[in-house]
Amino acid sequence: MKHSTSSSCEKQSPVRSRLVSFSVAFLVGISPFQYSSAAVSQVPLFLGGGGVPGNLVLTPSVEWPTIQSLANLGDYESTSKFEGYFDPGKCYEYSYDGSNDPDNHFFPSSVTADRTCSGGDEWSGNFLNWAATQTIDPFRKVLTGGYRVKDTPTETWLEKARHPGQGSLPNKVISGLSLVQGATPFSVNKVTVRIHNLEKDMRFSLGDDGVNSSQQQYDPDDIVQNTLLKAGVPAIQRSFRAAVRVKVCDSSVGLEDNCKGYSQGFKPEGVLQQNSDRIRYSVFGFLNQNGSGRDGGVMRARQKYIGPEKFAGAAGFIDNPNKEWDPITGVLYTNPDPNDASSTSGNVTNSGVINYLNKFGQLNTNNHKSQDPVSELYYAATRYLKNQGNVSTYSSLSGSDIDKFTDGFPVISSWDDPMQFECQPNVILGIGDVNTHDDGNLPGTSYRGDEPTLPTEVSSDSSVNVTTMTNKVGDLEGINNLGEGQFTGRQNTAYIAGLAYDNHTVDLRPDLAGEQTASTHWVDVLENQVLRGPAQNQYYLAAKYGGFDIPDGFDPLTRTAALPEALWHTNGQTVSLGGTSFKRPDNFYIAGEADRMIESLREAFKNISSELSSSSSSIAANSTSLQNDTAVYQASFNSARWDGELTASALVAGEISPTPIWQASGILDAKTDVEMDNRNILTAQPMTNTSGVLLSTTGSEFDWAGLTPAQQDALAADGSGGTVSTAVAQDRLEYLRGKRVNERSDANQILPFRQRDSRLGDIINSSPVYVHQSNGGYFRLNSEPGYSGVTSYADFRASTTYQDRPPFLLVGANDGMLHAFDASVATGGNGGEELFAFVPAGVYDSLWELTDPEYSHRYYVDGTPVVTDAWLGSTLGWRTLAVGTTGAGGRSVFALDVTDPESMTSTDMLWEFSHDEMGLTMQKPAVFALASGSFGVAVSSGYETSLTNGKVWFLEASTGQVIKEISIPTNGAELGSPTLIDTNADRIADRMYVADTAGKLWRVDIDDSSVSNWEAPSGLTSGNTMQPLFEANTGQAITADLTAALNERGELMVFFGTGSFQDVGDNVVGNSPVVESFYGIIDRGIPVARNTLLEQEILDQVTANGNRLRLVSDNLPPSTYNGWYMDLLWKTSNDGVGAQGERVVSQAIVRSDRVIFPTLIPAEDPCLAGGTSWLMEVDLYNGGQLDYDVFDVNNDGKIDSGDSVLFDPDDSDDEPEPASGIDPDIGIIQKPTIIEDCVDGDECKIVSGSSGNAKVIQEEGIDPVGRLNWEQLR
Amino acid sequence: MQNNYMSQFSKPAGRESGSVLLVSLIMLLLLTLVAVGGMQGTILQERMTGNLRDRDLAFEAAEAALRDGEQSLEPNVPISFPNSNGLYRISANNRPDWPADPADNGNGVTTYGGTFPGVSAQPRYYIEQIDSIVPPGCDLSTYCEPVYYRITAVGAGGSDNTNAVITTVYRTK
Repeated sequence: MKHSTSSSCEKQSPVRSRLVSFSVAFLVGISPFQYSSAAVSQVPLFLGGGGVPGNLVLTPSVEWPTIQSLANLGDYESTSKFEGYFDPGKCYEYSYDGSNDPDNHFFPSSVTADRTCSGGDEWSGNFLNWAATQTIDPFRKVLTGGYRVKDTPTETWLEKARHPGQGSLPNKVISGLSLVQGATPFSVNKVTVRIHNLEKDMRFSLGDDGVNSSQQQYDPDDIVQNTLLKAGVPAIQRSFRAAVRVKVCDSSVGLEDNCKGYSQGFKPEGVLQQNSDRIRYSVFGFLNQNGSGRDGGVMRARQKYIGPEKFAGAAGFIDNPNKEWDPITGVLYTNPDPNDASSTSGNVTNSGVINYLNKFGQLNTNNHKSQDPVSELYYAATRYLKNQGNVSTYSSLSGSDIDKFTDGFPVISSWDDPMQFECQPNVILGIGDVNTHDDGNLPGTSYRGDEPTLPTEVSSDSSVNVTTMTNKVGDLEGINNLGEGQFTGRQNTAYIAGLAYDNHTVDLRPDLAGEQTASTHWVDVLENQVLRGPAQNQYYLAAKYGGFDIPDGFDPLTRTAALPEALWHTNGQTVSLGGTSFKRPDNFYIAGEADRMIESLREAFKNISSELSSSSSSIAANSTSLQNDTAVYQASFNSARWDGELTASALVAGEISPTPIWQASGILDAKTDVEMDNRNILTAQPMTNTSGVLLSTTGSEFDWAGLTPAQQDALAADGSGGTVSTAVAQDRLEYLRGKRVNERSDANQILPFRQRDSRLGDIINSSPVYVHQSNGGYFRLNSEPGYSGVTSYADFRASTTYQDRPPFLLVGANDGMLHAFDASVATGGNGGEELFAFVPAGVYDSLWELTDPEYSHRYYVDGTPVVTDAWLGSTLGWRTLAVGTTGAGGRSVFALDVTDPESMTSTDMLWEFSHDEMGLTMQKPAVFALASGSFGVAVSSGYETSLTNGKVWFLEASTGQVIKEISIPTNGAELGSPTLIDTNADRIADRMYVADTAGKLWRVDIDDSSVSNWEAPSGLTSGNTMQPLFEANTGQAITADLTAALNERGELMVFFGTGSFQDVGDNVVGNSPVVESFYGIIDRGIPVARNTLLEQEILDQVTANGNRLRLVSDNLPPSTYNGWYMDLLWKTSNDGVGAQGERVVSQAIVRSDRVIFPTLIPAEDPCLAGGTSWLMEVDLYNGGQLDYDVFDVNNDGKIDSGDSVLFDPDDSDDEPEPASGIDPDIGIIQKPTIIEDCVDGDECKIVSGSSGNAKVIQEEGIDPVGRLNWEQLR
Repeated sequence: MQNNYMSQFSKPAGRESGSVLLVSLIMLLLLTLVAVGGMQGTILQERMTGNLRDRDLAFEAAEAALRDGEQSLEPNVPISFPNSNGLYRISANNRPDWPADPADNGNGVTTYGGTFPGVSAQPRYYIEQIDSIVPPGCDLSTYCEPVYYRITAVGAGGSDNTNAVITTVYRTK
């Protein structure tokens, strides 16, 4: 009888409800209480819901030249592409409603491939961009999509920046009849365009007519006017005025690249919106007040999420009350931060990051700002990051010009702390011209020109000395006294460079744990088209010294040697203009022309975004002991766009070389779309159901012709029951194969398919498996009963195919494929090349989601494959078999013949198996020679099932046919990986262990040649019902793989820890978490009770030499000994911290006299990479402290008694003792990879952590080897 | 059965208390033999010197072959032990009949890789894989490669008549 109430509360509290249900079943025993399965998370739990956002502080240093210079220079040519609010690839017509009417605007009428327009009233968008774009327009376009003067759910018009008439601006002249005809509606030799002093309008004249003569409104519907114009009637002596306002994202003509779909139409968006889920923004700007009397800059928008959701730590993403656009329609909100608007003096009804950037200077007819104290603006942003508060004189507002000063936007003087998390990356991105003014009123100043009084907040700021730091920059750059005296004119300074250097290299926040710094990116707008060299360019200096790669041990105050180029210039580009030319620092961008500005800002965002990457990794190695060519393979992923990486790195002197030998994603991404056709991608045809068994034994190519109609239909799914066209489904297939022609990019957001940072998808729970010539030990199999026809395993291993095949790595990725990469590391080799890939039949239903721009992560091929040599019958003979699973991405297990990975064909797809009762296959299959006379694959029913009794299926390795189904009375709990073991060294499986989520450990003996006799031993059978060998404490689920080994007395022991870290909610530790344990159980074929086990305790935790270490008890086994356990907590009774939710979810390693296991403690602080881990090493036999040191505690490169730790220094009797656990301090770690004889005879354990880092832990090797005895016989 | 092998070859942890007496007795016996031998007078001495040197030579040669055999197990043991060519499973029937018949090569032996000077024939050895012992502390779901090997070597002196046969058990990991 099922208790439906329990399953209804399951979602909220799976652990708790299991706990309750367990005790009921245990006590009553007659009313079997059904465990129901919890939902397995489809994203890695250690990401904590999405990761820590970066802080980007925008500091547009905008005075009038930056706003109203011409964005596109040079003569007009249709062969050149000019950027602006118009689409260079479209033609536009003009709609006139009346003089100065706000409805006057251009609208797209057709697309043009050659940027020429021949329609009657059509203007070329390329030409209009060239003629009427001011420098701030492309800045706005790339950041926000542009200033929307009209913004309704169905329609969007952009409007150019105002030109109030400051300075001078040349007219734009286009000449040559055919050029004019292609660019304008007119057939004349010449057209002149003026925007100077015309606000948001332009004015044009034809032929030699003056652009200021006899001014008219341009009205294409005025037949008289238009007829004359188009005919190019000479000497009409008129000029015509038109609003530079353009309708964008009109799907009836064609969408521009930056249009994003909403409920009723499309909206132009920029990099701010594209990154809004992972970057918070704030903006600092000037008050619109000229002259040297006003210092500094003011906050216009505080650090905030601008998108619909914001990240709230463990709660994940929640609604953002200050969102800046309507998530349904995409329409921008005018006043998303109303409190900041209303608390500003004067009339302020606009607020927010996007509004400020789009509309500064647009809401009135004032002149734009003159005189830009850029170092002081930058200093205001610095104060914000340092949480020092506003400088009151920067923001004080009084008098009649308040509305001019505020420009209609908030001036925020009450600051909050922008840093939410200690690990948050911080970036300052500015734009400006180098001809700055009066910016020396800063802490430690030595040049103040005609500055006002030094504000008290500034003079009392002792956190930085601008003269010192700027002089340091000068020293490194070879410029004397850079921090003293006027820099280049206008009473300006280079203090921004000193501040940027300080922000980048000195802790901004001593009040917070860890170190917080900020890097600086800057765009130089090249005022008057002049590029200043490094010594005259404060932005070059700020970007270089505020953005270099900081080497270990760098001290900004004592450094005197110039920065090596590799630290600041990795882009390989040289910027040059006029006579000036220099290598571009990675964070410095120039924007002299609109296309360069767009490209530069996109690149800046890409660089900023990559500073925020969150990743994890797993490790493999190509040898178990150190060789000359020992390499470490590291798989990782980045959750930003779910791309994956697999690298090979040398292991040198016990360290992983920082420069990889190869990177698989880079190799794959360097290929062209056409080369994607050459990828060898195989798949399995759909499994067919026979009495509940789902089996496919037919492989095919993963191309359209190779798919069955059902698979083709699966690719055409639209997620709401309908289908897309066959052509789109085919495009999806090509995308999955790696083609990028229909894939979105930073520059193009309207292509149909999801943007990928790499063709290689994320690798999360699948660890790479190294395959080369590993010995399976099957030499004597042919002398065992049932295997008499088996040919020589040694001959197979000596065969040319076997000997000559390259080493390769198999790894599952959540791009839908199991990948095989050449693992060679020799120079000039094929290392990192994909050899083949395989798409399991079990993932087809969700493959289309990978192409969806709205993709929300799920798993595809996330299981770790098992690879072994196997005898597959007389037809196939000895082969190398790879058995993979989908992990949480599906419910199937598949077998491939990978004997010759370089020439895989569809026939090498042996089979794919599933079952009506199969759950998610996150558990590992086991492959073994069976006593029944053939190699078999054991797989359990896994997770997210609704079974009362868990199942284990034994499958014929060569065909996938079911040899034996074993039902385990799990009472609704779910089974983990079956473990098959050989107890007597004949290489035939004798026993199976499997454990479940209710903490029960089961044993089935499978050493009988007749499968009908495979059953639990009599000591573990009650009536006809199987009894568990062991039951863990209530609430303790076993999800980790089991390990079995003989102890030194020849007794068989099973080792495992308890806990789960895979279900939704497993990453949240409650107030009184279940205490999990690690067990070492002696299997004597009879039930073992926990209360008969020897307890070992965690006695102490200390930090010594920077290492967090654990002391474990060394209790001696009693005379009647059944094994041991250790509760995973430092008990309060031992003066500890009590239960922290520590658990074990990965397999323990047995190694001679030791058991090694990593534990996991989830953490809600997103800075902790999801949690922490302990790497425990205890005695195999009794679970206690080892009597020798294993860790290099004192970091001296040797492991000896000097590594023992004084755990209780207050106790004079205390003596140093070996530590039994170490915190690798890289987040949550996975099972270590061991390399013997790694350094000076010690071994290396290589662990990888959820922080994305890998670490080599040097440890004592196992027993000395060599001669055990000696005898002279004669 | 396995446990018998275990105690024979694995570290005899904590069971050495009785050996002191045994070793002492053996040492006493040896000393007695030396003393008695010394009393035999000097007549035989010259004849024995040549014989003893030949035996030493044979022993050294066998020891050299033994080291050769041990080195052949590192860093990786041979792919298989097919009961031929000097590689046998433990106690295979067709292995050389040493020490009874030092000339017997069974189903093949390995000859010392170098050149041992002054001997009538280069020393030979064969290796037996003790594959029935499951090493403790090895994950039984994997191939627990045998770690114990018995190496037996025969060395000849200056003449074929003098032979030494020595054997060791070697642990690879």
